Amino acid sequence: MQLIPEWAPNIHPLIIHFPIVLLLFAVFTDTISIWLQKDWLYKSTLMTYFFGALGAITAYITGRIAADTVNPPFKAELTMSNHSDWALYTVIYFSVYAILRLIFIKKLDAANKILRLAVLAVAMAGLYLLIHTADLGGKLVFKYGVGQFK
Amino acid sequence: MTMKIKNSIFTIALAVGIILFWGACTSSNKSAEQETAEEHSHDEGDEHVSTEAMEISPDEINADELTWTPSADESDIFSNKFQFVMGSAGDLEATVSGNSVTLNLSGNTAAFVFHSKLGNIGGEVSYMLHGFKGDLKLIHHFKDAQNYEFVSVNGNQMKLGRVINGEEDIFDEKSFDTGSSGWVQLRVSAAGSHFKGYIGDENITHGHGDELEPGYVGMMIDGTGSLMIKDLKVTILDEE
Repeated sequence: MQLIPEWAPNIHPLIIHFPIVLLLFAVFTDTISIWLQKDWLYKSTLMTYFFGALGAITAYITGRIAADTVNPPFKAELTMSNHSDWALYTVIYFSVYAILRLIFIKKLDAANKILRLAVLAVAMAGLYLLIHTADLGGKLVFKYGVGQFK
Repeated sequence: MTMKIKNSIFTIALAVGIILFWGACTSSNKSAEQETAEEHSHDEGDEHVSTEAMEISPDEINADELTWTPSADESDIFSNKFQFVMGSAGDLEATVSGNSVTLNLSGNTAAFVFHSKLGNIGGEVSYMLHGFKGDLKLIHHFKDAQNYEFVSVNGNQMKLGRVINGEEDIFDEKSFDTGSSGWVQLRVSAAGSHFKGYIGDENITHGHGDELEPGYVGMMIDGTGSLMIKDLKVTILDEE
């Protein structure tokens, strides 16, 4: 069994949806967990952040590899560069965020709602990086046709 | 009970907030794109796309591109489109044959560039070696002979890098296979802090460095022997 489907130019487009979904879902469940105060939901949220960050790292690495195997038109090069740069910012942001959340897991669990909301706001700000990166990736594929054909 | 209702209202409000935030991000990107598209259509109507280039150079930039095809007038093969920044046209001993130019070099370095100063660019040229030994470079962000960026080929070896204050800094270096002897297309892209060198459609080198001030774009040839070149083209990469 081959890992990459025959039609796919590389593994990057198969990976990228994991961090997008996981990090968005993590912020959503984080929001709910502030009010529901369920231990299982809080811990699940942290794991979702962790796996979201892990997914972002994997997406970044596969993207770097994929960038050298496709042949974009010149007009797409700047978008590709920006996509790569914003992806790196996203990876760093959410990796640091997930690690800090795991380090301070107990302190934050016991913290008041205001502090929890402030920490949540940091994650929500990170969503801008994620969304902008995804937007540039979509532009590469659907505007410039990068990676659409093997 | 009241507490639960309050909590539910807060949760819903935050969820709506997330959705609105998402929507705002997406629509702002779309607006930016629309603005860019409108600017382009306006510029294309004026047959000019780069304000900077328009102000400082006599280059004719059509559809974001600078192109050069050799003039049939052998006394004016380069001077119309280029300025020599190292050596002179005489060092190249150029002769026109059809849509290409044959250059015969005796060891003097020569570099010629378009008149416009440009930032992010894609550059390409086709070449065919006829016993040429030395470096053939596509240069960009050229400030002076001591400060410029380049992709170079020497035989089947490609180098991607820059020269700063006379010191060469190589971002990436790899060998390539041209398949058969004949025309080879050398391409370079400089987009932000990302630099790439291609042979035809194949990416050979990829490197990163700080973005430099806009500079001139052209070719530098350093070696001995004969080679042919054609289809030198520069594409301006607009900021999104």
